[in-house]
Amino acid sequence: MTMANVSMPADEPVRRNASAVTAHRWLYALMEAEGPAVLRMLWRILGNEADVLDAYQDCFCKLAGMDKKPKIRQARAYLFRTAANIAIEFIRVRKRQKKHAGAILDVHADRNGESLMPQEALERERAIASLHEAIDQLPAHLRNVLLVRDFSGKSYKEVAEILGIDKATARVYRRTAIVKLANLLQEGSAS
Amino acid sequence: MNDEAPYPDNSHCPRRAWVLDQLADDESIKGQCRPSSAVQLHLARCETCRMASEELLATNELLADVIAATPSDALLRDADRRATQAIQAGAKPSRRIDLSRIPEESRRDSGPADSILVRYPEIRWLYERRQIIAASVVLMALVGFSALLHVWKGEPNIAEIELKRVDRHPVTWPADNPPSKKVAPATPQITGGRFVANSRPAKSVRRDPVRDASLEHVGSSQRAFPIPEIEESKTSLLKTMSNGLREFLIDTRLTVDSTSPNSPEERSRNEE
Ligand SMILES: [Zn+2]
Repeated sequence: MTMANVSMPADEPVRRNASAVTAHRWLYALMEAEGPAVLRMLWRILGNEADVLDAYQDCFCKLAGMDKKPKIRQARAYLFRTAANIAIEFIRVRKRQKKHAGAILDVHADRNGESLMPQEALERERAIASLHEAIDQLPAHLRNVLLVRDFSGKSYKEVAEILGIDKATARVYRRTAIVKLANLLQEGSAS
Repeated sequence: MNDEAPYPDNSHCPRRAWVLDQLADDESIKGQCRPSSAVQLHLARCETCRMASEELLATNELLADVIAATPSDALLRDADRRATQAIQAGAKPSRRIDLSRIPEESRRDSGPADSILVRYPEIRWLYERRQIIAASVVLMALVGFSALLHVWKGEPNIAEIELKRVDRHPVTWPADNPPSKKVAPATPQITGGRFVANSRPAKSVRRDPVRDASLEHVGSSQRAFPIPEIEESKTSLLKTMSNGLREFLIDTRLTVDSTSPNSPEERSRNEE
């Protein structure tokens, strides 16, 4: 969290420097239009504020660093796909860190190995972690449809526009993604 | 879906894929994690599909649980503010992840062919070999086109050229290299990308002044044949035919003459 030093009061409105606004007008317009959907996606995948704030920031920084200003439609597609990729990368980092620091059980266990979380909450957390891993293992084209459709809450028409595929394909991809997810989760629970 | 007969346990149900597809479709379950009545009816009767659908329904429920979470407005404001500041500071990332690992999203997820391939997976092998297929088609088209061009160009009559060649080039062997008794078959040589047949004459050629006169119009001594095997077989066929015709004419004591009578009147006048 390198941006922790620039924390501001939560209710202060967003102020933008005039020259930066001119240079990145398209990016701010995109943030205003699609920011809520992107944040929703990140929140539903990552589930904690610190990660969501960092991922959101990274997402727009990645777009700001692009060589060429994209067209409006392209920019929207770039934003969602970049957000999906960044979210997955956060999950991978988290997984690596978890491997390093010990299993999820250990994080919430006391010195005697007894869980500090209620059993139900612990199971839910485990299930969500497995879901994240399964989403990570999906092919990118299926994963992007699932994330934009379910996690951002976009309609199939919008999914199709954003990902540059037709509506029927988006629906088929989403169904395929769910069947694959179920298989991956079953394999995961079996192993 | 009302003609459902129960399938025995552990057997493969032909409707399994359809059931899973229906259960995985968020529009058909309308966000209720509940399948349509047709699917429910099938599930009630089919053990195989019921078992297969359990994991899928569990996945649907888990997904619905995750998706129910919605970020607060305060989080959105905070996120916007931080992102804006980071952009103004020269697009400074959080450095929690390596942003260079994130691909530049300049490419579509899939081409228009994907929607067809999803519906017809059995033609995917064709799609994957599309470049080879396209190259073969282009090659075949080129070969066909060049063959057509060759025909349209109006190559001189091969048989005539061959006959003329045989007649006009008497056997002139070098003194120091006389021909052996056995006549070697003609071997083609390649010159400048085209085949040129060797002009070694056939063993026994009788000179025929009549035929020589009729072949006088045939062009120069150029003997360039694109495909020697085909041309040679054509030539030998035509030669056999022309020899047979000549022998027939000689046998019937008829002379091949350009002034020979054609009409009955002319014939009777000559007889007189
Ligand atoms: Zn069945």
